[in-house]
Amino acid sequence: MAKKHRQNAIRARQRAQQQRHRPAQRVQEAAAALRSGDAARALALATGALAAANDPSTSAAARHVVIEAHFRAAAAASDPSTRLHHLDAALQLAPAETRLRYHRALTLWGLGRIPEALPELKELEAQHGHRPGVAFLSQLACAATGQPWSDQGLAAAEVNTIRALQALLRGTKHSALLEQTEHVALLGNKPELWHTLFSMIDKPKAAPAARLQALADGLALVDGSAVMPYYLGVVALRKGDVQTAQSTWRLAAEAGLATPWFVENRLHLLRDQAHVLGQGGRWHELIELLQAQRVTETHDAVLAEMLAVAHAHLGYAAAQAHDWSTAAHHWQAAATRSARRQLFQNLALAEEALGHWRSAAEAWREMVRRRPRKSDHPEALTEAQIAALWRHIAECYEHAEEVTEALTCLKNAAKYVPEDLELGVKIADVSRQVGRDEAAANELERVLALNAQYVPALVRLGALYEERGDRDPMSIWRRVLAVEPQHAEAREALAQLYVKKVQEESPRYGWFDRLRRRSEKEKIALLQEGLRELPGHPTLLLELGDQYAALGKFKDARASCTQAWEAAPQQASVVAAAIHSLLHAGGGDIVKRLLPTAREMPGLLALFWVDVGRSALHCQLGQEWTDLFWAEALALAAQGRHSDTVAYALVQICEAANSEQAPDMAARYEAQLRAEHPHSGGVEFMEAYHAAQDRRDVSRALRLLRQAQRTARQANEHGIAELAGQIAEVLQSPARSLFDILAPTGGRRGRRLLEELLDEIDEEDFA
Amino acid sequence: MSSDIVSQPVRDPYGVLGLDRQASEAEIKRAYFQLVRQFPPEREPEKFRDIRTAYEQLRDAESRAQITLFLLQPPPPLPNRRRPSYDLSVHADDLLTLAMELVRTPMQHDFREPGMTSESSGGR
Repeated sequence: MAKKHRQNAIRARQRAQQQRHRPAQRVQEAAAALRSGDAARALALATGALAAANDPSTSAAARHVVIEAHFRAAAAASDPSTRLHHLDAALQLAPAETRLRYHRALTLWGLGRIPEALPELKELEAQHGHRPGVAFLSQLACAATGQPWSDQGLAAAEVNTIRALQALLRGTKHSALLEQTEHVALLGNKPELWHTLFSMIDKPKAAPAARLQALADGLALVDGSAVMPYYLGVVALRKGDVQTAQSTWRLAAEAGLATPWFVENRLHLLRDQAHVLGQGGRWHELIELLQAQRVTETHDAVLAEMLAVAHAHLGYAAAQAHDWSTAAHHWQAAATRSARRQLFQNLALAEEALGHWRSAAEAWREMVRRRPRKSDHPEALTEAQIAALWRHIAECYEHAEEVTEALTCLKNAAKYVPEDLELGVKIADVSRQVGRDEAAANELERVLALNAQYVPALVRLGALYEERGDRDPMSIWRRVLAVEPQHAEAREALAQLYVKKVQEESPRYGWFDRLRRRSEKEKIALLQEGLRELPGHPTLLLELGDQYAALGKFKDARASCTQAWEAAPQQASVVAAAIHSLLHAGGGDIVKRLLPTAREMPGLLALFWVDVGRSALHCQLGQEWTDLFWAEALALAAQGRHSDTVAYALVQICEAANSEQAPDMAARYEAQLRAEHPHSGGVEFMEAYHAAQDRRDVSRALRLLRQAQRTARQANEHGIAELAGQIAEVLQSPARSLFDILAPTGGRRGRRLLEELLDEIDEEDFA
Repeated sequence: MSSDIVSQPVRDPYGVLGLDRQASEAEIKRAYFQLVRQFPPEREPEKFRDIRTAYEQLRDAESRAQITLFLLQPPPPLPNRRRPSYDLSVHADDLLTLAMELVRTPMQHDFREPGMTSESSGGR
C-alpha cells in the first residue's frame, strides 16, 4: 500500500514537472510574474513559451504577455534608450498598437528626436485624435520642425503655447515673448511658469529659485517631469547652491533626461564633487561616489583619471603597510582606467611581492609597452633601462617556469643592448634549457665574434661541443686557457678529454681503423703530451700511473700517482684514486707516508675512508688496508664533526663489508656496533639488513627499519634515521623487483649481475 | 603559487638615506657621509651595509635611473581642475519637452492586465 502511495506521488511530481515545461503553463507563470511586478521574469518565460508554442491560442496568449512585459519594462526604465529598445521590441509583435506607438513617439521626443516622432504623432492624430494631447503634440512637433501647423481643434492655451515656443525657436527676445504671452492662457494653467522660464533666457544670472520651486510644486509634475528638476538645478547653480543642484539633477536623470547639455553639466558637477573629496584625501568616499553614479560605465576621461588616482593612492597606502594583496587590487583597478606606466610598475612590484610571477611579468610588459616613445619626453626610458626591464621580465618568467617566454624577453633585451656579452651568454643558457642547442651555439659564436676572449662564452661553448660530440671541444678549452691559464674547469675538461682519448678502444673515425687498437705506448705518449700542455694535472698523472701499472712499470706508476696526490692534496677524489692506484702498484709505504696529509683535507667525512676501505676490499688489496682506512673513518667520526657519528660510520662499514662479500669483517664490525652503540638504531638497522638479505623477509625488514628510525631519532643519530628511511622507501617501491633479483647475490656478484642487466637494456635500446 | 606574501620589492634607497626622489647628487653624498658617521661599519655593520648599498644605487645617474625602475612610484596627483563652464542657459528644446510633459499620459496609465488582448487596446 505504502509502495503504491510512493509511486503515485512520484508520478504526480513527474506530471507537475512536465506541465511546468509546457508552453501554456509557462504563459500562466509569466502572467503571474507580471501581476507581481517581475517584468524581467515574465519576459523570459513568455518569450520561451512563444518560441515553443504549438497552438494558436497559446501563441496569442504568449505574444500578449511578451508585449505587456516589454511595455512594463519600458515604463520602469529611466534610460530613454532602454525604454525605446523595449517599445521597439513590443512593436515588432504588435505594430498597430496605439499605446506603443504613442509612448515611442514621446520617448523619441524626450531624446530630442522630434523629427522622428513627428510622422508617428501625425498618424496617431489622424486615427486617435481624441486621445488627450495627441493633436497638440502633433502640431507642436510640426512647429518645432519648421512645418506649417494648424490650430484647428486645439484649446486656446495649447495654441498660445505653440505660438510662444515657435517665437522662442525663431530667436525672439524674452521681452517680446513676455509681451506676447502676458495676458493669454498658456499650457499647464500656470502662465507664470512660462514667464519665469522666458525671463531666464536673456538674464544668465537670474535665479528665481523660490518662485520656480513653488510653480513646480503647483504643477505636481516634479516626479513625472525631467525638465522641471533640471531647471531647479540650473537656478540653484546660478546661486552657487551645489547641493540642491546635485539632488534635483539626480531626479532629472532618474526621470530620463538625457540632453547633451544636461549630461555635460552633470559631469562637471560630479567632477567638482570628486575633486573636493580627492583634495581632502577621502579616496574611499570618492570611489563610492563615482561607483554610485555608475562612472565606471561611462567614458568620461576626467572622472576615469580621478578614479585611477584614488585607487593609486589607496594602493600606495596598502603597500606602505605591506598589504600587497590590497595594493595589487587597487593598482589593478587604477590600471584599467589610466594609461600611466607607473601604475603598472607598482602593480608588477606588488605581484612580485605576492609571488605571482606570471602576473608580475605581464604587468612589467604593460609598463614597457606604455613607455613614452619620443626620446625627448621627460619620462622617456633609455635603451639600457628598457633592456634592464626586459631582463627583469625574463627573470619573472623563469620564476614562473615559463622558459620560452623568458627567452623571448631576453631576446627583446638584446635588441637594445646587442653588445652586452653577459646577456648573450644568458640567452645561450636559456636556449639550451628549452632544447635549442643550435641557437645557443649560434648565440655564443655571436658573442665571441664581439669578444673572442670572453671566457664565460668559451666555457659554455666548450661544454656544448663536448655534450653534442659533433665538434672538437679541445680547441675551445685551449682558447679559455690562453686567456686564463689557471681556469680550473677548462683544465679539468681538457685533461678529461685526454683521458677519454686514452680510454677509447680505437680511434673514432673510419671502419678500417676499428681494427686498429691504440698501443700502451701510444697512450702513454698521449698522456705525456697532455701533461706538457697541463703540467702536473692530477687527472692526467693518475691515468698515466694506471697505464704504467698496466705495463708492469710499477715504479713509474708509483711516481705518477704520488705526484698526482701531491699536486692536489685537498681534492678528495684525487687522493682516493691515488691511494687506490698506489696500493695496486705496491706503494703502501707511500700511502702511509702521505696519510697525515689526507687527514688534513677540510670538511672530510668518515664516508670518504669507508669508501677507500671498500675499494681496497673490492680489489682484494689486503684486509689490513681496509681495517686501516676504516679505523681512520671511526677516528674521524669520533671527532663528531659535520654530524658524523661512530655508530653511523659502523653501519656504513658493515654495509660495505657485506656488499663486498666479507662476512667475517662484517661480523666483527657489527659486533662492535652492538657492544658499543646498542641504542643508536644501528642494531635494528643491521637486523633489518639480515631480514631482507638473508631471510628475504621484507615485511620484517620494514618493521625493523621503522624501529631503527625511531630509536635513531631518539638517540640523535640522524644519519642512521635517514638511511633507514631511504632503505624503507626502496623496499616499498615498485622498483624493488630488481633488488629482489640481486638480493641473494649481493656484493660483487650482484654488481656484475646488475651490469649485465644494464648492458642488455642498452643493447635492446640500440637494437 | 601561494597568495601569501613571499617577498618584498627592492628596498627604497631614498628611504634608507632619508631623501626624497628629487634629491641632487650633492644631497645624496651629504646624506651618505652623515649616516656613515652615525652608523660606522665597526659598530653597525648591517646598517652600514644597507647605507652603502643605497649609496651605490644612487651615486651615479645611470644606476639611479636603473634602480628607479624597480621602486614603488608615489601615487600621481589629482588632475588639475579648471573652473567648470556650466551651461546654465534655457534651451528651447527643454521647453518643448516641458510642453510634452504637461500633456502626456503617464505610461502606468496604459498598463494592461496580462489576460487582455491587444485588440482591446484601441485609443483613449
